[in-house]
Amino acid sequence: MLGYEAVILLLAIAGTIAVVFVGLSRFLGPRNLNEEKTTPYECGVPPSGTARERFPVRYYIVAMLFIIFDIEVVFLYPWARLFRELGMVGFVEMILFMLVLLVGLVYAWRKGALEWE
Amino acid sequence: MTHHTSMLLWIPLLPLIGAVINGLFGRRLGDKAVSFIGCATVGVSFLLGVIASVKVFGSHGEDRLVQSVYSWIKIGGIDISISFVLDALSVIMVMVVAGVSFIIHVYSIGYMRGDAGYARYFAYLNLFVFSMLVLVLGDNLPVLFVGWEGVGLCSYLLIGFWFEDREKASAGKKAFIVNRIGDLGFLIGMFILFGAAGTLSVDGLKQAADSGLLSTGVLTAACILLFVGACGKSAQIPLYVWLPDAMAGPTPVSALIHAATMVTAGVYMVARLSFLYSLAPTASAIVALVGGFTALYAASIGITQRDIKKVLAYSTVSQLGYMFVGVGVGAYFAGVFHLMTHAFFKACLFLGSGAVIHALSGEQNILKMGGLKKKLKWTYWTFLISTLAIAGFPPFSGFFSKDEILWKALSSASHAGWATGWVHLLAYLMGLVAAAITAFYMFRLVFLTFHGKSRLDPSVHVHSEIKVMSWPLAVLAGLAAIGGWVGASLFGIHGFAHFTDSVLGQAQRQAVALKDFAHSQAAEWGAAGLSVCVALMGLALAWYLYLKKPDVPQKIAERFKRLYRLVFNKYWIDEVYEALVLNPIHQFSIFLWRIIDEKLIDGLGVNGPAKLLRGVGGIARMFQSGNVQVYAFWMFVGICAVLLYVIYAAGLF
Amino acid sequence: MIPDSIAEISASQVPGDLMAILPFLVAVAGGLVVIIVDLLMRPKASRQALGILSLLFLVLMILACLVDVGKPPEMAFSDLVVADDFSRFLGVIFAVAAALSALTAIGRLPDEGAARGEFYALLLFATGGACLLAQATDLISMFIGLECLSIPAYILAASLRRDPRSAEAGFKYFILGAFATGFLVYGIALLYGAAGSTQLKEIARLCATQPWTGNLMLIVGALLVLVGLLFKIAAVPFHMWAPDVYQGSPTPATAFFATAVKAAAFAALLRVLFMALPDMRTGTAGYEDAGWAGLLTVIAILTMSVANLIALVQNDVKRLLAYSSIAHAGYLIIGLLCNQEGAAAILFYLAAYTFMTVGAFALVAYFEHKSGGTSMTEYVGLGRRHPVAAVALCILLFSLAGIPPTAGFFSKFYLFRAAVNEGFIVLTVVAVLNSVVSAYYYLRVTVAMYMEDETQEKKPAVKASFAIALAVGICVLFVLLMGVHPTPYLDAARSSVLSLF
Repeated sequence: MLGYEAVILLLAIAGTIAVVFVGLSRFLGPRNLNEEKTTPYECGVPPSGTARERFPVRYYIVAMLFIIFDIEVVFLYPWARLFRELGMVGFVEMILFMLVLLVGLVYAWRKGALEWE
Repeated sequence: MTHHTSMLLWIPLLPLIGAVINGLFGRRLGDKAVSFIGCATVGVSFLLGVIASVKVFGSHGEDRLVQSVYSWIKIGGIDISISFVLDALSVIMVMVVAGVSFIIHVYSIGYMRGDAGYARYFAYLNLFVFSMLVLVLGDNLPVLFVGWEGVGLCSYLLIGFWFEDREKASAGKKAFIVNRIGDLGFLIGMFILFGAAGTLSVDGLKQAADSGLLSTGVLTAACILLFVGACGKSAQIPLYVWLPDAMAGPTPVSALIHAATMVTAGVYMVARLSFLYSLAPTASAIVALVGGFTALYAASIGITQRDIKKVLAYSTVSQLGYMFVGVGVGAYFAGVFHLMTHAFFKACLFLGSGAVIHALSGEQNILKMGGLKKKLKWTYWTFLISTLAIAGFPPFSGFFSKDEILWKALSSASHAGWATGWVHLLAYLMGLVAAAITAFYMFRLVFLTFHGKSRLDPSVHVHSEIKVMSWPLAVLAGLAAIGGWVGASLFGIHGFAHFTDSVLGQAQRQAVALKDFAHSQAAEWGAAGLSVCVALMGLALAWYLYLKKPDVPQKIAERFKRLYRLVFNKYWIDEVYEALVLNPIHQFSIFLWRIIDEKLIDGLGVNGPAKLLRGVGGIARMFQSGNVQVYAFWMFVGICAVLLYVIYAAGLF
Repeated sequence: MIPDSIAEISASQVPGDLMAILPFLVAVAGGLVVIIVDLLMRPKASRQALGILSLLFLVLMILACLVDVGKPPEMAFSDLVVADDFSRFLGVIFAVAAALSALTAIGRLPDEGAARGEFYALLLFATGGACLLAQATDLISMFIGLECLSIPAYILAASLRRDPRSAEAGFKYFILGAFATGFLVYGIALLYGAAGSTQLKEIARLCATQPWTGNLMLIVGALLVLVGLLFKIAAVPFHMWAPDVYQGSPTPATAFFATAVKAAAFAALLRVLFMALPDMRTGTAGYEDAGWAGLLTVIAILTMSVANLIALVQNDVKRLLAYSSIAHAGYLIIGLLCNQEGAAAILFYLAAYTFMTVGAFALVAYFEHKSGGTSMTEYVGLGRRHPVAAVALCILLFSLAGIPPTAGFFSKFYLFRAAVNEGFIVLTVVAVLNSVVSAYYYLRVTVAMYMEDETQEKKPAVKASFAIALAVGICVLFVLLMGVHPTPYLDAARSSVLSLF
């Protein structure tokens, strides 16, 4: 446990503040419920159909590709920071890494993953 | 003296080569080539056996040949090589196995003529000969076990050879499974020996036994477990049930595998390990008792059977019982001696029955035969000789070997301590009664089949005998007649006992049976006379009931209806096994699958809670949508169980 | 700011480090090449060439493993991985399993309408992951290897896009695999918390220097890691996914799961148990049952018995083989309890098991008609329609049942011998009993093939595919070879486990 007291204390304070503020607004704020107010908001039109709508798989593919290249950037940044120290080996390794990603991108492209329609 | 040779390998290898050729190319080669390859490979291997055995015979069994082919398993403290040994014991087995196999191969040419699976049949049969020769030549238990499993496999394949019939197919399966149960014992026994002695070679085990390295407890456990294996292979109580069903195979197969060779493997194994059994009196007593009881029990079933092959099957079980009495009372040579003579006369009987079945186009019911004496001359005379042999009439071979066993059981009874003495006496008495019954049911078989009026179905045309099938019968009948003379101890010929002395002698002297060789001739003659008397009684009764007054048996059967039905239905053993063993296992696995896997996990886990909790709301949804969650749930339960177990065991709780 | 010297040292070590994971690199490079070539090919062209290409890389991988055999263990990447004979032996097993599965796929997938290049690429990636897993000496690299192996496996399971069962298999495998991985990672975190390092040898040092029975964090961490790996080998009670996944996946992929994936998980188990937790084998005085030896004994008995009993009543050959592979995992767990000889027995067993199982699945793939029939009734009369293939299947099934002189007999013999030597008599008896039970259901297949009436109309013989025939031929050859002359393989297995102890 030693050394973690501060963290736990911070957690407790943060939790307390959150609960207190939400609670306060609930207790203190005036509430006038009517039908308009309780209706879920959906782009201004009344909600219809199930909430478990199926999304086109394209969204997922784009999201996944995004994450992959996001991670690439995460790797690139420290590498760039240490570029000189790492020398030729580091350069070659990063090129290889990007080549692998490139193959993946070309693959996704050729297979039509980037086409929206 | 031990000679090294490079020849032994070829004895089993040649049949294997034949099996491979016939199995792979048999269809293209044509039946003639197939039969030539099948017979020639076995024949040459027999000749090789003869050549190799010259040294053994020349030294009156003192010398032996060994060949270490290569180191099969070599790891750390264990070195098991593929090695063969030809000593006084295995030479007899090789002669019998290769010789009888050759004869039966030749016979099969006629019997299987025109069968669609001709090449397949010969391939299996050759594979069997290979496995059997590996079994008898093997110099250590693992090699022996390879042969042991191999013969089981071939037996299974050949029993189910005619698989159109569901019953026959299931007979094959039954044989295999029952044998696997026996093998379980064999394997565990082997492991125990290995654990205690650190070796599995026969010589190594012998040294360990001689040096007192093995405690009596270990020996007894190992010997009993090995005997369980022998019970499976050699069809002893309670594992005999497969053998009668095994008659579903082609008749030459019954003759070779289920009468002359494979089923004797258990006896051979006990004899091979006689130095262990002689040090484990309890195990030996069990062997003798099981053998004696099986001899009596199977003989009694034989009385009521109507299928010619079933009668012979139960007779085989019964005769194997005799052999176990022999090795159980410590007269190992007598057991092996009976093994040899039995191979001759029982193979002859089976081939004879095959000839009858063949002549009658597949009829096997002896109640629908009769009067075949004239039409099947060769068959009749050879069958009769073999029947005289099995019933124990002098001077036929069965008399000498069976009498040797009974005499050793009786004579050793008076010398052993009281417990062992009673066991031997009991074994002797059971054997004696069984001898009477044997004579009875065998002559019943002969009279019903060959004598009396013909009860044949009018539509059945009796085919004439085929030459290629007749001369094997003649050879075997000749052997059945005179084969016993090598060990006619009654007349002072101890050839067989002396020949095997180098292998079995020490154990025999250790065991009770032969501690005291000196007995009065008169007692031995008296005992022999008694066996002949009971055999004569059996013969007379059979003659009276089935020739003189053929309507009496029917009346007796009606008079003792219950008893008759009990015996006729083989004491309901199959049904008992099914109810006690097979069904529970089957039900339990169905239970595991249907109830635990599907009902409990899918039903209780998925649908049950779903139904229960649907009203409650949210939680139910987690269970409702499919199996995956439930699998995960049970995984979680498993993890919790594992955690709890260890935390508890670690004392943190 | 990292000092220059450290960066220079690590940079100069890189080529040597890469050589240490050469088999992994070959497999992954192969996967990439397959993808690129796949993209260059016309969409409608046959993908069999890709299969052959992947075979080429797998052969290269075997060579990469074999070329270094006998060299002393070599740590790489700051002790994250090691290249030793253990990993090389297993690398060969993985590559062989993948190659045989690829051969099956070449012959089978075109019929399924699933002959896509990705299949081979994923197979290679998974094989690479398996190699990495077998080389890992650190929980982190172990985890990376496991994921490199598992994720392609999930996709392979679902690769029959039009077959709902395949999709279900992939989905189940993924969800449950992720679930198990979650536990594994949690366990790694706890072990890290307890030992202050993810290095296996550091964890071993911790266990050796202080009594572990009071250390809850260590115990729970170790157990969760074990559970994660036991899931991968489909040990009871973590086996539920296996029958569904094995049955639903395309058969070549199933063959790969049942062999390479299982072998890789056993490699990780061996590393973790013997390199990190040798002192947790049994509890300290007073708490003898607390160690993993007691736990694995129970799991071994459960796994063998439950799987064999359920297999008895299966009527689908593919599902039957799935249960059989669970049962074999049960036998293999016994080896984990038996120290050095046990580890060697596991390696030998895995090698033998790979040949017999891939061979059996390859034949299942061969007999599968376009309707996808794997039920027992489809096997009736095969002995006549496909005599050679039926004989091959018989040999493989007899080997699975442990009947001499096949590899299956010998691997069981050696394994049980190790168990008897260690004094696990009861466990051995249960195992032998189980192998007797198993003979029954293996036999049912041969009975169906040879000894049952063909009630249905005569089915035409399936055209023999050379690739499958080759795969089966290799399997049968090795099954017999390893049974008749096991010494060289045994010696290899025995020397390969030395670096674990």
